[in-house]
Amino acid sequence: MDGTNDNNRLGDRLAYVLSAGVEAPAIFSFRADPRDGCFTKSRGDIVLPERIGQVGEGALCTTLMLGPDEWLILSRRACLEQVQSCIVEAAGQAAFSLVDVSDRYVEINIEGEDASDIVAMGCASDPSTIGLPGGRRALMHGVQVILVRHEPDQWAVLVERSYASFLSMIFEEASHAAPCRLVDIC
Amino acid sequence: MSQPFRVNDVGRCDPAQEIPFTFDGRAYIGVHGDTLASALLANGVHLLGRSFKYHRPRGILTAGSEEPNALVEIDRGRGRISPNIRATVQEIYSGLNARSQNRWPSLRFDVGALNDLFHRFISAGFYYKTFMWPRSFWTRVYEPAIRSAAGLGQAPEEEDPDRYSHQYAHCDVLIVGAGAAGMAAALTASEGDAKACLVDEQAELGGWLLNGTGAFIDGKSSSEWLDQTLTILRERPNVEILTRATAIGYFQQNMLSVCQRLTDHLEKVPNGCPRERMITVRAKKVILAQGAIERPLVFNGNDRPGILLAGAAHTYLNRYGVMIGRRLVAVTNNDTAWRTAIEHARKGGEVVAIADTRSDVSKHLAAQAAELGIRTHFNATVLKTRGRRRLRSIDLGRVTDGGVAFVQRIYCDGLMMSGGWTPSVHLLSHDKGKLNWDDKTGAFAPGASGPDCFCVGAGNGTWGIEKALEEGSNVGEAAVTGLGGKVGSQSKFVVSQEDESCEVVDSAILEAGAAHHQRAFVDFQNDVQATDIRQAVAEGMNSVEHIKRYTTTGMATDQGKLSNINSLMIAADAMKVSPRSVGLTTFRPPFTPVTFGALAGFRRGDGFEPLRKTAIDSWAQDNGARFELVGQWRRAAFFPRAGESMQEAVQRECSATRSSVGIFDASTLGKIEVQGPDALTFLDRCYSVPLGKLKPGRCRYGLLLGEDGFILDDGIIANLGNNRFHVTTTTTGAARVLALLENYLQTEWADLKVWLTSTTEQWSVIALQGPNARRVLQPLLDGIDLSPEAFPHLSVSEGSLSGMPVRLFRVSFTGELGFEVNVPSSHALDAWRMIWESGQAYDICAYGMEAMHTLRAEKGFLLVGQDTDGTVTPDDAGLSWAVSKRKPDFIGKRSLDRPDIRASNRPQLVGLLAQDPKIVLEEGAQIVGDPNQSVPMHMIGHVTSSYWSEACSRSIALALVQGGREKIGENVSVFDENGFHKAQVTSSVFYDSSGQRMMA
Repeated sequence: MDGTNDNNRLGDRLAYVLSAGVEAPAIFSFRADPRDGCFTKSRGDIVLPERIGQVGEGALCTTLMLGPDEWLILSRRACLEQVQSCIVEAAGQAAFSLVDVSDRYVEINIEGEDASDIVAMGCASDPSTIGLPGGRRALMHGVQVILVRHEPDQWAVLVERSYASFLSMIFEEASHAAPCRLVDIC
Repeated sequence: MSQPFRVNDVGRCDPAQEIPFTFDGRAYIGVHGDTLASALLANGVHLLGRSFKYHRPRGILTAGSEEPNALVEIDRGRGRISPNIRATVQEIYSGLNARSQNRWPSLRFDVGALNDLFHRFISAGFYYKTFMWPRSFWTRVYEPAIRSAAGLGQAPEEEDPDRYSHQYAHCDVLIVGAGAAGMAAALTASEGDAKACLVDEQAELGGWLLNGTGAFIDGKSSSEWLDQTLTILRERPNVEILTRATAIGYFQQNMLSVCQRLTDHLEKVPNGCPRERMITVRAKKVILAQGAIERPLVFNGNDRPGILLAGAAHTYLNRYGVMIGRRLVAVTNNDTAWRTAIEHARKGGEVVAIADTRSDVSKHLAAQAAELGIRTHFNATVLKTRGRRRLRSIDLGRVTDGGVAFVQRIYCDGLMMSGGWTPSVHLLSHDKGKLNWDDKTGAFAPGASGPDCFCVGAGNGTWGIEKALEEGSNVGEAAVTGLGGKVGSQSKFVVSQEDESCEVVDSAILEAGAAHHQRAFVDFQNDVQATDIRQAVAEGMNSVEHIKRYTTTGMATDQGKLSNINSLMIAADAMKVSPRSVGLTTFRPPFTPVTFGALAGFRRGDGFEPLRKTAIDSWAQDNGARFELVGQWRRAAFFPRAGESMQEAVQRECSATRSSVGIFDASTLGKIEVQGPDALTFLDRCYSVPLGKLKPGRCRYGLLLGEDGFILDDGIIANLGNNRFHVTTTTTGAARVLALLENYLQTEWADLKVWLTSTTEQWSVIALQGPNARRVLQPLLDGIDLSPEAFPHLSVSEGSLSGMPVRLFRVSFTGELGFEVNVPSSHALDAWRMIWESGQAYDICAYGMEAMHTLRAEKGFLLVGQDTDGTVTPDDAGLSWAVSKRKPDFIGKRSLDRPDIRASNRPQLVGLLAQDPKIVLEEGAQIVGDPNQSVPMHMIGHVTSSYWSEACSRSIALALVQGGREKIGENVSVFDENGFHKAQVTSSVFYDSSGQRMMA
């Protein structure tokens, strides 16, 4: 999985891409008390959304609110230190936790007309309730993942590294089932 | 080849598209749109199988998924042989190859039919009374014989090569069943924005409307109305339509399982396409429009091929264009069979008689029958049928007070029977919906259900197309408005056809004349007769659940769809109570049989359950590791060289680690980053060890106890500085410990400013252990001095390893000088290779789980989960030193003062040395003090860990022994399958008891 890409295409309907290693984004788990308002003030570089499932787009990073005091910050690896110092600066005296979890996750991107069907094959959450952009923590084929939806037919699945080969194998299997609606009407 | 029973210009099949298929090796022709059943009927084939117990000839009884008789085996090629497929559901395709079941040597001549000659001796419950003596026959004769005879069809032996899929779906309104009521509900519910999903088990939507009912809806024929409605629904973007999709289960909170057949109707399956998919639907509102199931009449010989339910005959004629015989008779207790008989006569069939158990019928129907020359008999039923493999004649009888008198014999080859209609309430029952008995229809109909579930149409006991349409539309609107949505103008339907009556007569008449010796079947698939039900009642089975189990009625794959009501009515009659008070047995999912493949979905083979691999797994694989599972993790157990046994490999790995240096992938250890100004306070409250004075750069071994004071987990707590702590857990305890700590944080100590983040996958861990570990590692580090003075035992430091970020711990789980190198997982493989390369000068050796277990046991290091069992306290484990005496509180502290926890005779972890040093005691073996005591012996403990120790040149073991530390020096006996082995109780530390090597 490390540093490799694996592509699967079924005509124009579906593509999924596994990306990991040096190409993967920098990811932080950021925890803070939202009552310390300094964190939720809009800043140009980092925008912390205030509703669970919402995505904030800043100049430096994308931020997804996962829980009442939990955000996931996604950035480029090159911006890793910038993100850290930006958070420290914003915090001032307020307490927080910022943990680099870039290597915890492997990102699997699912794109194409059938992308939402692929997601729905393993995830009990209703994909239509995830905003655009938006995301949430979810179970996918029995594995805990973070789902991020960028476009209607573009999903990112952040899965813990040790599960990545299992989940990609299931996605490979699921990709065969995606066009089954075509069969249904023939 | 001709299809002698095909009726021209009738039905929805396309006669221009002929489709060849085979049944029992014989070639036939069907047409596009046929099911296997309709195609065989078109060819005059009625005999399709043999019954389960008596091997009686059986034919097609129904036209739907409730079919109990016509079960066949479909051969779709190697590994694709499916038994018990209902011919009434299987669509034909070119080359379909079907075979009959439960017969030998052939369907026409079946040796098993001998059972039928002895039917009086094998009635209900005979096996409870028969197979009792001699006792030795229970397992040697009776059970093997019964097992070989039991079951229908043969389970496939080869691996199923097909794919199966699974999908979750969500909608506002789910409509199950696309008959008139379901279509109307879908039409209304989807007028606005509500997301509607319409599922139907058939290939075509329409239900009874597909039968060309003769009704006109809003001025259009029912077929035209159906086509128009389907077009509207398909054009709506908020409507999802699933055909060949059976809702098999209705679970809590409006979750339904829908199994959809995707390829079983196709001659050529698209490459890789799944055969079936299971769809788990979450719906805000559910509308059940599953229609009703026709009941058979119970009379002598009611199971002969050629006898079909009247509704099925109606379907075969009007939908498939197939007449079920040349000379037809209808026997009924309600109006619907009259219409079927009249339809057959109008379309060229010779209907010689209609027998009705009632005393009269509407003038309208009577006039139509008379006009067509059909003789009608009232207060009449069938006394007996004849015909060996196909119906030849029936004896008609007149119902009189207390009996049935023979009237006449009628020669016929097709009998259409109707005992009334039962609303399909199975799914409602799954959801615990209430059922009410309806005396008029002689069936249970839906009563109260939850606010989010509605029943409509025949499934709700609502008879007639107009009423079904109206009810469907009303409920569709109610469902949407209940969700706060809006629909357009409510549809009003005008139907021009007289509604049919489903009112039936008293149940007793259904089986009038069925004396003891007669063969009146209630459950066709399980060969349960009316006499069996009465016998069960006579033998004291006074509950319908007892009757069900004693007779097996309703326990076949059709789940009693045809038999349940007849069974309970006969039981009620036998018990002299009303059917209402007898009640129904419980309906359970699945509604229809489901393949194991559909249930498994993606969960098969390597996808059966998640398998976790470390970032270093590929190196282990490339270097010949043998793996074992630890939880979901795949871990290297040992690395055998050519010709080495496991034992030899483990001994070599242990020796190399003790003598020079070993390298071990410990990445699976749980890791939690604890941050926040109150982090140390929080950890001090959680772990039993005192942590208040833990300085940055230092680590401490800690025990995590439950509230009961027993050891839950252990690990290292490392202070990284700046209110950051790195806490390790056991591999299998990682998720549990994180959840426990998070729970305390959120519920007990919410005032603390602390946050927990799992970093198990962020950091890969390379354990480097052995006297040369420092020499291997030091050259690779930037800015970390590994000297004993600068980096003593239980130190932690952050730095870099050849440019890679590293968290370095000086800890040991082997008793040797040891380091645990934590690197970000994407660098783990590179780091491992660098250390491996650096270690070549010292003959570095990779070791696996087995060597790790041995090395730690030689030092008496506790393995939570192996040396503990959830009832071991720190003192039991010899770890009192890891419990603070001064801390005011920590999790489990108060329980440690309980008298039973402080009792002196508690099991304590000690060492055991077998008297024969070559004997490796069995893990889990029980320990006794005196092996000569009488049985049952008093057990004083058990072996928890046991290995061959190369360092000690003998076997060693750890054990939990009552008052173990007091017994050090004493002999005990350990029992295994070879008898007792003497062993001496010792200290749990077998190697380097001073700990000098670890501190080097």
